[in-house]
Amino acid sequence: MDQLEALNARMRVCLLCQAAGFFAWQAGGGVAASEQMPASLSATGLIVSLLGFGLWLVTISLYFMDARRAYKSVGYDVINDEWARDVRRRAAEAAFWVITLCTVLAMTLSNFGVEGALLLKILTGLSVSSFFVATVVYDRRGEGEEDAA
Amino acid sequence: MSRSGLENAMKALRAEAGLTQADLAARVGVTRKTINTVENGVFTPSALLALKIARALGQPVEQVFWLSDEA
Repeated sequence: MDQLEALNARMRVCLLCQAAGFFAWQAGGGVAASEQMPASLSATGLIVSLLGFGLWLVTISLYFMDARRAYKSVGYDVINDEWARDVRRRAAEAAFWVITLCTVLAMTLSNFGVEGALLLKILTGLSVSSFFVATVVYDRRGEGEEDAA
Repeated sequence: MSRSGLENAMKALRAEAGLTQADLAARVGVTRKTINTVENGVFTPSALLALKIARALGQPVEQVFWLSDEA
């Protein structure tokens, strides 16, 4: 595995951590601020939210540091080649369906009296995270050792 | 048969030219992963990339890529 592929593998781990962190940050914050949730869950929600924010902040910083290293080692055109653009396009397409589904779900649940702010936080967190996860899933399809058939 | 309907002889031609995937990737200006995915039929390249790959292998593009139903 060359240096670029090692960076790529680490960036994928960072993306998964960003997905988990962002979702925890948003969902935890939503639970902590919700008036519909039991008060006992408020503190837990706040802790989850802070941990999620911390994880997201650290891993997004590491991600951009690695992206900068990759850019410096081979240049933008190589790291942003056709396969990379195809992965992002497919991930955006997958995330679009998650966003659509989450919007329908939010509209439906809000009719049953579930707090709008709580729904917004949880479903937005899920939607954004789905893009990161889909990017990793699609990018992994390109894995394979030299000459693998 | 490739799901995209595009077949290629990259692996054989690359071996014939004595190139690794990384060598070919460097010649074309893409990552090894891109060469790997095209070679294994996971990713269908654009016409531009197919032409660049063929040129890097020193072959006409139709010797490197062809439609499945032409095989």
